[in-house]
Amino acid sequence: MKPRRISMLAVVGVQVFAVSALAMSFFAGLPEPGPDNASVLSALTAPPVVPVERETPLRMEPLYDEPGIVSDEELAAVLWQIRPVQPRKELKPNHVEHALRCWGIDATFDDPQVRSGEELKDVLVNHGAFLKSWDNDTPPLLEERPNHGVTVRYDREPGGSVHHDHWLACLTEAGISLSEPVFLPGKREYTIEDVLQEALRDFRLDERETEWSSMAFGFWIAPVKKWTTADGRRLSFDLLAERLLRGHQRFGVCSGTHRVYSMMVLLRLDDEYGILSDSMRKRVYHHLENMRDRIIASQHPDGHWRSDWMEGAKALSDPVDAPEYRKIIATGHHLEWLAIAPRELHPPREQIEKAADWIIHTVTSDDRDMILSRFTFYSHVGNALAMWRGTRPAEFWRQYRKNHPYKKGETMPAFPAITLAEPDRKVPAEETTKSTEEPESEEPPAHD
Amino acid sequence: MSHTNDVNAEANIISVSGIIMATTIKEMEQQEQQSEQPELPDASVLEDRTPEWLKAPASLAGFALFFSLMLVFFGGMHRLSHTDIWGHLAYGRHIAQTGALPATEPLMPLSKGMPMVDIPWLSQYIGYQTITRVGIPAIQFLYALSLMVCCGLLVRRCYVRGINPWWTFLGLVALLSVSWMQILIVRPQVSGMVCFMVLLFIATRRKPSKADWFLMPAVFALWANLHGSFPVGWAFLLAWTVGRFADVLCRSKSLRLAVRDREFHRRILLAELGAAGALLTPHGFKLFVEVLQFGAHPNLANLVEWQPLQLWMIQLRMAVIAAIVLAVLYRLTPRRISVVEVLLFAGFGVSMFWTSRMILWWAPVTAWLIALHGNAVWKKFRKATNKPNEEMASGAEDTVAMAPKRGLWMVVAVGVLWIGFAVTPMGHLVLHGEETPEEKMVSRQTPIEATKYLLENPPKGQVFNTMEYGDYLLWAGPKDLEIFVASHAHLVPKEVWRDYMRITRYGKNWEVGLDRYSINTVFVNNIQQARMIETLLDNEEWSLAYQDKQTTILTRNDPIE
Repeated sequence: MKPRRISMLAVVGVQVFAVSALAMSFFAGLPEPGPDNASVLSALTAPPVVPVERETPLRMEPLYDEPGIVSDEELAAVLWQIRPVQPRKELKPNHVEHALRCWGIDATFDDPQVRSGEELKDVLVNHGAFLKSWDNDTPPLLEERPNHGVTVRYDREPGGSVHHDHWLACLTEAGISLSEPVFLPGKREYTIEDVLQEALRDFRLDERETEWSSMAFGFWIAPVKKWTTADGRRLSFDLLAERLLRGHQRFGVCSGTHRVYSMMVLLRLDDEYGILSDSMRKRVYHHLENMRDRIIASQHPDGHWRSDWMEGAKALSDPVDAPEYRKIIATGHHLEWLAIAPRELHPPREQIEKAADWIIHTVTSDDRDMILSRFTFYSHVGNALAMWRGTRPAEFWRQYRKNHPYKKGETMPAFPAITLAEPDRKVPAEETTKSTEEPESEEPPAHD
Repeated sequence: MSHTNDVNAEANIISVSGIIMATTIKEMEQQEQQSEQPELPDASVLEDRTPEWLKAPASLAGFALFFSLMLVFFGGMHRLSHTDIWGHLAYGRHIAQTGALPATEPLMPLSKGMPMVDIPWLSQYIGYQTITRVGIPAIQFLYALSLMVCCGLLVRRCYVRGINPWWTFLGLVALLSVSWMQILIVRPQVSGMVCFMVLLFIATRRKPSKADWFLMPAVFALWANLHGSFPVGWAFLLAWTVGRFADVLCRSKSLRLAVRDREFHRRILLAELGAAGALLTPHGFKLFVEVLQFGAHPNLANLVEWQPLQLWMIQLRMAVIAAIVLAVLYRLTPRRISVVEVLLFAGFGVSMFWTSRMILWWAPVTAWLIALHGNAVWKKFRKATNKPNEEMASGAEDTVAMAPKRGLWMVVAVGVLWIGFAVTPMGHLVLHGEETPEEKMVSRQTPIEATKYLLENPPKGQVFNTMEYGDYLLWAGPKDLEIFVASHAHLVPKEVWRDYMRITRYGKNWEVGLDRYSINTVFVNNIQQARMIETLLDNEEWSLAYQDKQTTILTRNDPIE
């Protein structure tokens, strides 16, 4: 049977139906305008952009000024040891990042051997300065991404930043401004905001290291609590905190201590900006109480902690055989997070004093070359001790220099000798077989 | 001589009369007996007073038997799988409880924030309402009914198109055997299959129907809300429309005729209606983005059902057999082979080597073509061997439709179906109010008892479970149980999925993965994860909490906080 001719009415009717269905589909699929898309139109046409209200990032203000924990002389001696005397050639971005984080962009030094904060910053944000240190065969540190994004190469290859978003977090803690220009190999103009937005977009909650991203995001975007990544995942500071809580404490950079520091940062930001839900805040606080109890139980008699600090009392009865730099890592980082923690989360004061004494004694006793080779760990000590004095290394150093002007060939500032408590008991040979290398540890072999 | 003849004749007369007398006596005895019993009418001359619309051909009774067996098997003997059906029901429960479709994954803690376009939301919601109002038997019955509808549509189309019942039966066998591995798992996909069969039913009409103008958008609107397979329907419509154009072009060698073909115009408009119908979902255009990206999701590469057909798969072997049968029929058939059928057969066939799930759509097309061409070959063979039957003599293809119908066959058909229904758990429930125990309706791998243990001893913190158990735990486990993954693998972050694969396949440092995720409870299958169980039992940090024939639960002695 031959089909009947199709009437114009039928054709029009079908088109009306199709157009109506298309319109319904379009409107039904529109995302609701949120903090990271001001309008539905921008949500459809552009990648998510998180509004940033400030030109300079928030700072974690020190809570204490405790000369009993570290005196001016002791602090000066420690800071003298960790001045950023960086080599000109093959300057490792990871070292620069740590130096900047500790000293800040505004740090200046009279000693021509020591790099200023501005110089250090330039190495990180300017490909031209990077090239002066690395040859042309080294891949650039900064890479261009679609949608005017900038990402930082992080890997173990020469000239790479080692940890994801460590570059951003360190510059953030160093006080860089949002509109600071960032120079890539190409000619387009970028700013720190482009790096930040790309970091927010490409962040993956389940990647191995989230400590740096959590801090950087908190310092920049609070009080914004939620945002959307490029793959559509809806993130929040609650989820970041939950991610930091996940897993055994031995996981995480620097024996898990950075996770504790990042949680403490989120908690402090929550005090002011309410970025966590009540239930998550309780969980984080409870977790930090737990960490406090573990470091109370795991401190060695002379005041240091080791990489097994999270084991609590077991860390004393069955200790790991730790090289000194690992003790520096654990002790320095714990002093750092405790410096920004409320007193309720502190171990007894004498434990903090013992830890400070041990680390001041050790850092000031160590060889400068060794310190520079493991600068990343030692830099945390300087920052931690400065915060215990309610200041920052650069600020303290400026004040110190007013009374102690630079002299060529000067030596480390003197300070009264520290008598440590009973040294750590000798670990029998059979006990030393316990390896300090945790399987799958995220900690880089030399953290550089 | 004459005397002798007379004597013989007399004797004959006597013997004949004796026979007659004997016969007469027998008849008299019979009449006496009959007079004692009520007289029965001759059934062969009774008039069938069944209304015409209730009469059925004998073949219907045969197919009713087939459907009855389907009902018994799919509606009772075949148990609900322990995998994704429970996850779908859990999502259905979430929708019912919140009154909204989830925008992000709501049930798996490690997938928090992951964007979710819950495509089969309507199937999930219907499934949840069904199981809560009636119970598992209703799910089984609904599933069997869906498959019967699929087969019924094929039978009906064959019947109307005058296809011999035996070839129709062969088509059914091809449909079920090729798609067997796909239809064994009870899940929303069956609703997509029903929609596809309706589409095939519409497309194989001999005469256009006005109902198609309403049916086409309605089917697609329903399909897009029931299951994410509706783009298969779009592909079908495309082949159906383009194929028609190519057919006319090939036959007429005239582009003008092909362009002006009215049937081609009709198909364009119907395809447009179908495409537009699928837009009517609460997800809007996000649905299409999701559907287009879905198959390419990296997590799915680890799932066998999303891998291409491979030689070891039984379904490929069945598909090869069906393809060979069809190839032979194509060689012998007197029917013209249309471009439409080549596009559908080849298109869906090739797509099976992208993902084996496409076999579900290839099977009905192939089944229909086997029935269609098989019937044509059979007729040709009958003609060639000069054994025309009534159907052949009539010269019409619709002769089967004119096969004698009787009310009796309808009674037989209904009776057979009723018997089939009566022996299913649903039948027991409806007819006798008897509830079949859950363990008899779900697969033996379903961790019923182990889940009860968890209900009595709710674990704190993250649980590690294999994907196959995740769905049932979501459905029947303790409230807010923190499962690791479930079969909705595309909603699991790829890093979590990578770690899951590493742990379950015992990759390097797989045990560390348990520490990294703060796993304090392990809930796994004894056979699949025998090595994991053995390893953890040898580890002093873990203890055995529960074990039955299927499942083992291990707990960490010093939970990670």
